[in-house]
Amino acid sequence: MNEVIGWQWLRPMWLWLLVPALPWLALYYVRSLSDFAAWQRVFSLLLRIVVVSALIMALAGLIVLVGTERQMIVVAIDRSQSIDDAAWESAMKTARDLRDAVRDAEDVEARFLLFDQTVGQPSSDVENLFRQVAHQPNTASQPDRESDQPIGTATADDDDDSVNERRTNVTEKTPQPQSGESAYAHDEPRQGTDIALAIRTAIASIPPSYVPRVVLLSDGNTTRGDPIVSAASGGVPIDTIPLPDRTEPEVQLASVSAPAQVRQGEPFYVEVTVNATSAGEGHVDVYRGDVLIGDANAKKVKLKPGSNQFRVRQTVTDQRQVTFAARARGFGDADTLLDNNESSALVTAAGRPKILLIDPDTDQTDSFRWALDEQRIDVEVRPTEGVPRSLTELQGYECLVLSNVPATAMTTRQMDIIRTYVQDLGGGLVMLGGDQSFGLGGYYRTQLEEILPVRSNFEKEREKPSLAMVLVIDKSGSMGGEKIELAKDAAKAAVELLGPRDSIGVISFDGSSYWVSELRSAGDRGYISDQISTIQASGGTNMYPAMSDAYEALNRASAKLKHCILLTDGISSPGDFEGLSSEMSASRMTISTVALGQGASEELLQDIARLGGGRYYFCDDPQSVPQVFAKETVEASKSAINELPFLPQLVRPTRVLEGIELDLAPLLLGYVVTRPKPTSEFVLASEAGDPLLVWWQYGLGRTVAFTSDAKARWAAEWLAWPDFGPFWAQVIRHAMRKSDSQGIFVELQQRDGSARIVMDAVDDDGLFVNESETVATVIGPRLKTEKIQLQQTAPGRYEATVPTAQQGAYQIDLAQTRLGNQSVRQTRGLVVGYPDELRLRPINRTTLQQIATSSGGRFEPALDSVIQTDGRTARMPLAMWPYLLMTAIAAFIADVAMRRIDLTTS
Amino acid sequence: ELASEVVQSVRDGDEISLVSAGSTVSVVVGTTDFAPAVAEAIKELTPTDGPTRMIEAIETARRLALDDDKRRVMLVSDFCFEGAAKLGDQPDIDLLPTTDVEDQPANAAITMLQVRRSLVDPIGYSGLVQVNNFGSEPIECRLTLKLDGSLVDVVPVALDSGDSMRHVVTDGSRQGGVLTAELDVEDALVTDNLARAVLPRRPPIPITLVSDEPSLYLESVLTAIPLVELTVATRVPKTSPTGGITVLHRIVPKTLPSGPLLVIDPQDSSTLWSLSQPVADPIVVRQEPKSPLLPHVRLTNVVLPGGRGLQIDQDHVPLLTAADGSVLMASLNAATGRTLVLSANLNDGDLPLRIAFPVLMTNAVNWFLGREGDIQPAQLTGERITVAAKASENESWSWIDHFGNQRMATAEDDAVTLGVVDHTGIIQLGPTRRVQDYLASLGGPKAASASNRNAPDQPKTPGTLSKLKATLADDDAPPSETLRQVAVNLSRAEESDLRPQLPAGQGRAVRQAGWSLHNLWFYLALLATVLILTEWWLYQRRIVA
Repeated sequence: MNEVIGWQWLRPMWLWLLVPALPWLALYYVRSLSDFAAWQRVFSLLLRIVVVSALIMALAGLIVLVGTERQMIVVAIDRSQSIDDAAWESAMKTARDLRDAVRDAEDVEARFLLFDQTVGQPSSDVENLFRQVAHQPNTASQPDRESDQPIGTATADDDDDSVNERRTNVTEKTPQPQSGESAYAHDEPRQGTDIALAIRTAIASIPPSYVPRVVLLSDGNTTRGDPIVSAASGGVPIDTIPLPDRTEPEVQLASVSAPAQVRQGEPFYVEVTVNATSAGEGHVDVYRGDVLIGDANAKKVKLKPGSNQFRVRQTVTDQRQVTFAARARGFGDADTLLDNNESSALVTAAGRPKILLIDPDTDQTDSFRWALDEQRIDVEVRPTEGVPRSLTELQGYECLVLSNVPATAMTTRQMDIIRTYVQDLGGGLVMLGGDQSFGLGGYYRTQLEEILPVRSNFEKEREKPSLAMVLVIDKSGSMGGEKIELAKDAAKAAVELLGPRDSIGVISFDGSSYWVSELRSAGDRGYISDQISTIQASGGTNMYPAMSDAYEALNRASAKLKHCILLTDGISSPGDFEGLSSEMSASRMTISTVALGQGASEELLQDIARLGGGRYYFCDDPQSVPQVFAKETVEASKSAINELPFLPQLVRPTRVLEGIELDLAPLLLGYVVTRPKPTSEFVLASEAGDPLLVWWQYGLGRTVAFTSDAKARWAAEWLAWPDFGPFWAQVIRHAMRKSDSQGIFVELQQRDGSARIVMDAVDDDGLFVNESETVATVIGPRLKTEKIQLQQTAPGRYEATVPTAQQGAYQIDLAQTRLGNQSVRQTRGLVVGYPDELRLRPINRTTLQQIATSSGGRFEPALDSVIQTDGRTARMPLAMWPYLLMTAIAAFIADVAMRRIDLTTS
Repeated sequence: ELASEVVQSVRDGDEISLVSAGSTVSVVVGTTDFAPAVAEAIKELTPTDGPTRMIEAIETARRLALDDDKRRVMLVSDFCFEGAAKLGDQPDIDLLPTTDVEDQPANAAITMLQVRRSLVDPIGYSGLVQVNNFGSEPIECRLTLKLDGSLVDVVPVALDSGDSMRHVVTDGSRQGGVLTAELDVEDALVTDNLARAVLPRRPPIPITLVSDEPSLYLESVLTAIPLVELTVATRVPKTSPTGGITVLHRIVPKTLPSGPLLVIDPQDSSTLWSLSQPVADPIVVRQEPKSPLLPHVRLTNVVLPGGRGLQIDQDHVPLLTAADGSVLMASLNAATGRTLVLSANLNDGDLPLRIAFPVLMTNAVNWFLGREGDIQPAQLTGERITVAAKASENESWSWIDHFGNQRMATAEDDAVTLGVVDHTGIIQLGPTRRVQDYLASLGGPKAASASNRNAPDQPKTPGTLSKLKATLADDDAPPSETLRQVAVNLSRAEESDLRPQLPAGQGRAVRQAGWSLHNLWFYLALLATVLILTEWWLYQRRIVA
C-alpha cells in the first residue's frame, strides 16, 4: 500500500520564478507576430506554460510523500561468550530463516548485526557475517589488532541487489564501514554483553523512510547497560527470540562468600558456590592465602546440575587480612570454559595489632617477639624468603620489620610493594641494623632507601682503610638491551659509594678485554661515570684476559683493601680461572662474582668466588644487579660497620619514648654507619654522632631506621634491659599504621567495571560528619596508585567511583580529616574476579519478555509474523524532478511541433 | 533556528542525521538525504532537565558517518560544559554556539539536596543543601526549606560570584515526606532553583513490656520514646514483636523469647547469664566509654540498689562495673538476638529519676533496632536511577513519569532500575499492578501505556491525562500510600553553570560544505528555463524564423 500523503518543496523560493515567467509567456503570446491559427497558438502557449512550470517545479524540489508499509527489520544477534556453539547454531538458523522469509516477501528488507560488549555494523549479507565469526577465536584471547574488524562489520562487496532495487532516487543509506576501518575498538572480544547498545545501534541504523522493527536473538543476559530502558525509549517494536539454554557442559566457580569483616578469633564460614550444567566429578580447592585448606589428596567432589554449595569453617587469629580463594579443577569434559573456575574473597579481621618481622636468623628473634607480645603486639617471624610478594599479603600487618635483610634478597617488585604499602596505605616500616642492612645490604638507590629516613652513602672516615676495586663487566652481545644498561647503572652507583681515598677501575670484556676506565681515584666520579656510559654490548665471552688485567692493576695498587667484582651472563672461553683466583687471593685480593640469568656458568663463578674469598650472587632478574654491586662495594670498603661499644645518645627528646629511661640504657656493641636525611627526626645517635634511631613520615606511613640490632650480636646487653620491651613497643606503635576507623562505615559496590565507594561517617555522638576532606587511595593489582577525592552526597555520606577494569585484588585506603585535624582511616580490600560474561546463567526470559513488552514487540514470535506488516506506515519521500524534466522535454517537443506545423492548412 | 540553518545548508546529495544530546543520546533521525525530515524533527525536539552528553553524542554521530574525510559534525549547543573548548580542535567538528560566548548569564542553583534519618534520634533527620552562584555578580536571596509544605527553615543566602554555601538542617518528623528547597531568585535557569528530597517515614516501634508488678517509671520512660507503641503484658511471648523489642522486668522465663530483648532487674539466672549474690556496694565505678548504648549517659558513682553481678559465658560487652568488679549491665549478641541486661532495682534507687535513664532507654531502642540513618537518595536527571527495593520474583515494576506515563522498570537483585529520567520532580515507583491501580484512581487509563512508546514524554490523550499530569506534577498532591516516591533533581554544578566554556572567537556561522549547492541537473534545468523563455520571445517576435 503506497499512497500519496502529501508533498513538500525542498527549495520553495524558486517558485517565485513563475511570477515573471508566466507573464512573460503571456506577454509575448499577446504580442506574437505568428500567423498560425488562434487555437494552435493557444495550444502552443499552454504547452510552453507546462514546460516552464515543470522546469520551475523541478528547480523548487518537489517531493511527493508516499505512505509506505515497507519494513526494515534489523536482526541483532548475540555473539557473546555466554552463547555456546549449539545456541550459535540456533541463532544462525533463525537468522537464515528470517533472511529467506524476507527474500520471499515484498516490501521488507533485513539487516543483521552482531554484538557482544560492542556492536558491529549492520549488513544485509548474513553469510558474510557468519564467515567473519568463523574466523574469530572462540576464547577470550586478545584480538589481532592489525586486522581488528569488528564482528558483524559489513564488507565493501555487500552485494544484496534486492536492497538497491527498492531504493528510490532519494536514497537513504544505513552507514557502511569503510574498507579496513573499524568503528570501535574491540579489545576483549565477547567478554561482555551490551544488549542496550545493540538495541540503540539497531534502531539508529533504520532510515526514517522505513517502518522499523528490531529482532533480538539473545540469551537475555547483559553485563552492562539497561536494555529495558533502551527498548522502552527507542520507539521501535522489538521482537525477542531467546536462544536455547547452554548445552555445553560447564562448571563455574560462582562465588566465594565470606564476611568482609570479622573479629580475631571469631569463627565464620567461607561459602563456595559451584554451578554446573551437568553432573561431574572433580576437585574444589579452597585456599587460605597461598595455603590449601584440607588435604591435597582429598577425594573428588560430585557436582549435581545446578548450584552446589560447600562450607568451610574458619577463624582468623593472627592476621589482619586474609584472602580466601577457591578453584575448581579436574572436571575434564564437564568443564568447557576454564576462565571461570576461580574466585576469591577478602576477610579483614579486627583485633590486636600485628607486625611482620623478617630476619634470616629466626631463632634469634625470640627476645624481640616476647617483648612485643608482652606489650600486646603480635609478631609473625619469617625468614628472608618470606618477604611478602603481594600487597594483599602485606596488608595483613600493621608494620613490617626488616632485620638484617639484604636488598639482594628481594625483587624490585617486592620493594615496590613495600613502598606502596608505606606511602599509600599508611603501613609502617622498621629497618634494623646488621651486616646485611642499609648500605651493607645493597639498599643504595633502591626504593627502600628512598622511603627510609637515612642514606646508605656517607663520608668515609679517614682512619678507614682505602679500597681499590675493579669491576669486570661482560659486554658480550647477549648483554644487549636492559642488561648492559643496568650493569652500567650499577657500576656508576658503585663509584658513588666510594670515598676519595678509594680507587676504582672498570674493565669490560667480550672476546677481548678493554679498560673502560683505568684504576683511578673514586673522587674523579664524573670522568669514570662518563667512561662507563660508553660501554656497548657486542662480541663473544672471554673472561680470563679481563680478570688477568684486573689482577695486574690491583697488584700495582697501594690500597689496603683490594676487591674485584666479575659480572657475566654467559659461558666464558676456557682459562686458568682457578689458578688466577688463588693467585689473587694470595695477593690479599677478594673476588666476588655475579651470574646474570640462567645462561651463566654458575659453577665456574661459584668456584672463583670461593677461591677468591668473596661472595657469589645469582641474579635471575637484571634489575637486582645494582643492589649486588652496591652491597659488594659497601661491604668491600669495610667502612659501614662500627663495632665499638657505645651508649645511645639522645639527640632529640620525643614523646614517643616517654617513660623509657634512656639514661639507664646499656651498651650497644655495634651499628651500621648511615647518614640521616634532612627532614627526618634524628632521635638517638651513637657516640660518634652517627644515626642510631631515626624516623620520618613518608606518604601516609612512617619508616624507622635503627642502625644497631635487637638481638644478641649488638644488643646482647639490651635484651636484659627492663625497658627493652617498652622501647620497641613504643617505637613500633609509632611506626605502625594508625587504623582509627571509629565511626566509618564503608560499602563497596562493584558493577560494570567500576567500584562505587559509599562511606558513611558519624562522630562519637552518632551525629553525621559533614564537610570533611575524604580521600581514597586505590591501589590496583599492578600497584598503580590513584588518589580520588570522595564527594559529599548527603549528610554524613561520601561517595566516589573508581575504575576496576583489571582482575585481581584492589586495596582501598580511606582517610578522612575532620575538624581539628583529627583523622580517621579505614582500609578495605576488593577482589575483582572473572568477567560477568563468564558467569553461568540460565536464559533470562524475564528480561527478554520485558524488552518485548516495553517496546511494543512480541516475545518468541513466529518468524512469519515478524515480517508481516502491522498497520504502521512510514513516509517515503519521492523526488519528482526526473519526472518533471521528462514532462518538460515531452511538452517542449510537442510545442516545437505545434509551432512548426500549420495544422490548419494540412 | 541554528539547527534549521544547518539543515538548509545541506547540498543535494549530502546526507544528514539528527542526534540529540540531552539526558540520553539518541538518534532522532537516521542518515537520510531528505533534509525536510530532519527539519521537522528539529521542531519537535523538546528540552530535558538532564545534563549535556555531548561527547557521547559526538561518538554516536561518528558511528553514523564513518568516513572521516566526508563527515562534518555540527554541534549546536550553548557549550556550557566541561571540555567544550577542546572540541574546536577536532577537524571534523564545527561549533555553532546558540548564545554569545562572551555572555555571563546570572544563575544561582541548588546543587545538592539530600535528607536522611538520624542515627540517634528516632524521629530526627538531617538535611544537607548546597547553593552555588554561577553568575558574575554577587547574589542575595532566601533559601526556603519545607517538609510536605510545612516550613522548616529559611536561610539567607549571600554569595559572591563563583561562591557556594552549604547548610545543614536538623529537625524531627515521624511521618517524613518531601523536603523541598527553593531559592527565591530570578535568574537564567529556573529548574535548578527548586530541589526535592524524600524523607522516609519512621515506622512505629512495638515494645512488649512483661512485668509481674506495675512499674510506672519504666512504662513512662518507654512511652515517652518517640515512635514507641507500648504493650504491657504479664505473660512472656515466644518472640519479640516484628520490628520491636521485648522488655522483661523482674521476670525470667525458662525459655527466653527470640528477638531483641531488654532485661531489667532479673531475679533469676537464665541460659544467657547467671546471677551472683547481691553486690555489697553497688556503686558504678566504670562505664564502657565506646559503647553506642552509653553516649550522653553518666552513671559513674551512681548507686544501683539490688544490683547483682552478671556472669556471662559468651562474648559480651560489660557496660557498667561495680567497685568489686561485678558487672551490673552488659550487652551481648546472643543467638536469639541482641540482648541487654541491667541488674538494678528501679523501685529502690534513684536511677529512674535521673536524666540518664530515659537517654539510656532511647539508646537501647536505637541499638536494638540498628538504625542505619535511612536514606532515599534524591536522584539526578540524566543518570541511570537504581533504587533499593525488594521485588518478588517475576513481579514487574513500573514508574510514573511527570506526564502521567507509565514506564517500565527493571527489578533485579533487591534493586529496581528506572533508567534515565529526563525531568526534575517527584516520580512514583512500585509493582506494575499497584501503579496501574493508582493511575486508575487518579482517572488515568487502567493499563497505561507500555505502548505509548512513540511519544514517551507526552501524555497520550491530552484530555484525560493532562489532569493527571497536573496532579502528578503538583508537589502538594497526596502521594500514593502504596508507591514509593523518588525525588529527581538537576543538582549538577556543571549543568547550572551557564557560562559558555568556549574562548572568545571560537564558534562560527553555518556554512555549506562546498561551493556548489546543487547537482548539475539543477543548473542545466535552470539554463533550459532561461533558454526556453528567451526562445519564446524570439519566436513570437519573429526574430528567428
